[in-house]
Amino acid sequence: MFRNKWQLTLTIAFLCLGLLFSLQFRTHKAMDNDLNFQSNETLAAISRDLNTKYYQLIQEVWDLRTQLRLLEQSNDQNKLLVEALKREQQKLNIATGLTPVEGPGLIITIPENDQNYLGYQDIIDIVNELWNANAEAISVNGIRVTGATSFLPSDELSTILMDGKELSYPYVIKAIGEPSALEKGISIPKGVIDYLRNLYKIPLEIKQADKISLPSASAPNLKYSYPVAGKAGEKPAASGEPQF
Amino acid sequence: MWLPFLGLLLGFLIGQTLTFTVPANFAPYFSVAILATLDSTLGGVTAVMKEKYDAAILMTGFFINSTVSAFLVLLGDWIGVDLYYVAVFVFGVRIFQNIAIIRRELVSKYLSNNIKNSQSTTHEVQ
Repeated sequence: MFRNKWQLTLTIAFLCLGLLFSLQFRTHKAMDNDLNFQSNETLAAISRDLNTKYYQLIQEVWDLRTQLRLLEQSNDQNKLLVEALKREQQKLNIATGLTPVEGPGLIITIPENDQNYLGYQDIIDIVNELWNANAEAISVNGIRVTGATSFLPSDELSTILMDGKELSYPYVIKAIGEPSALEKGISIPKGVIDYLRNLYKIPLEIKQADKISLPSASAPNLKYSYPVAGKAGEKPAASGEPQF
Repeated sequence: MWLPFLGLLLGFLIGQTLTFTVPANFAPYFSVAILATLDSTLGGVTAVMKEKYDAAILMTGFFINSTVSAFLVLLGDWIGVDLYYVAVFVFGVRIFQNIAIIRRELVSKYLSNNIKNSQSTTHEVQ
């Protein structure tokens, strides 16, 4: 393999040289990246740059924090506003009969009787008495009574039309409110119930219930009426809550 | 003929694969030692060219020169004399001289027959 005897030793020498070279090469490369072996000017420049960047970042953090706080505040306000509006809308929906409701109340049942005629006026009277006794929602034969509900006699005066639909016996009037207050309010002496019972001998049944479910009425079809500008928004805000 | 250069390449690759690195404090001494070994090996190549090669001289020059030069630089640091630049200068000059001799030998051997071997000496640098 080694034709001349110089080749072996010279190869060993070159091998060692290569080894030393690569070691020094790597050390030098590591030193270039090491801050300990940078010149003072370079270090000062690096330090200055980092300081500037540091203060810029601190400034940025403060700006962003302020922004975050502002956004949170406005978000909270919006949330509160939305919640208030939701509550308002729920109350209005209950008041206008646009949402099904349930709660304690009174059930008045008028069974069919042959002797005496019960007119549409009597139903209106009962409903009015119930409203007067602070009823919050009323239905007649499962139809919700709203501001647009009408009670009329049919042509032959034999039946009652509610919103144009014929009512049939037994008439069931359900009202949500405080049951005892409703009963007390409706059965005052010389009130409509008193007359119906004692004068016309109609066998009314009045029952207090812990839980009554009332369906929702169909939405009113408003074409011609518009809120008066400027006053529409003020009223609910001024009165706070709708009164039942 | 190419075996020594193969050895150089092999040594470099071995050094690259090793995870060991020279501590940064020893880097100046190490670089002087490298210059000494480079000088010794180039001297060996020159001797081969001139057919005056002696393995003992190369090996002793290689190891003793490198350690002594590194130690001298260390000594200079101890006594406050910056021998580092002296070592770099001396070895640098010698390396260039050796390279020049090798070049002249190669030229005379392979390119031109006009220049006689006897005309080149260690002190001729062109």
